Amino acid sequence: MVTTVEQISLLISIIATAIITFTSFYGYLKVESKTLLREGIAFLIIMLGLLSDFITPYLGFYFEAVGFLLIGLEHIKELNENLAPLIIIPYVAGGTIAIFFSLYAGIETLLYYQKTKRLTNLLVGTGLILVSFSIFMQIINYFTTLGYIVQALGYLIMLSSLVR
Amino acid sequence: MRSRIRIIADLLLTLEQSNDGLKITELVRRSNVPYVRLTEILEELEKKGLIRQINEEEGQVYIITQKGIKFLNEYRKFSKFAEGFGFEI
Repeated sequence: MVTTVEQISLLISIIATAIITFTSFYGYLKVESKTLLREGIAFLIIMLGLLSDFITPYLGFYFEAVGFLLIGLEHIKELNENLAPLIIIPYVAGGTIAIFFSLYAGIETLLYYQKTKRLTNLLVGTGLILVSFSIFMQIINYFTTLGYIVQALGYLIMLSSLVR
Repeated sequence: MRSRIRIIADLLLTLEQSNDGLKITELVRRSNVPYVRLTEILEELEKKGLIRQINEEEGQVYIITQKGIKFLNEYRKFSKFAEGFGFEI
């Protein structure tokens, strides 16, 4: 973390993912839906990843990769739910995986929007793609600050689907 | 394939729409769930207080309780939330 703008943006992302995590777990407790439980776990991991950025830069990519993998897997219901990735590779590779799965989840959600025409699907899909783009900007170490801002914007757009 | 929670929500919705309650045979027909499995689910829902059986002239019928209606409202809310992410609960 270098600038205050990056720290604020990261903090906004953490708050947004924390609210999504809380809502998912609360929903699981209320209606006992395993989908909501898995969604909550996925966003909890993503949130931990964002928190870890305060301590060790790039460590968060591993968490985000796992979190988005879980979201991606949720779209592929046929896959074995016990599948778990073992990612022991440099941060760039971790970030690439995070990009892949966040992008995949974003595209899947936008495809779902094509079917449902619900604004919430469009918002979450757009948010996921923005997060994916932000990870790319952070990886290339070029537009780092803008990357954090885009990341916060992505999570805020995802969050806005909640308040509708 | 419908998840268990979806089947439960569909059952509760069917009961909510029915003013006088429904017999188990009618629930089997409307829910498209085999009799044995449906019986298990209904027992579970009754234990949780989401539905209850009452005696009518034509026999025993199931009706949704206030707790069941509350559960259904929570289900609708969180179903909408999950659908935002492209998931079905």
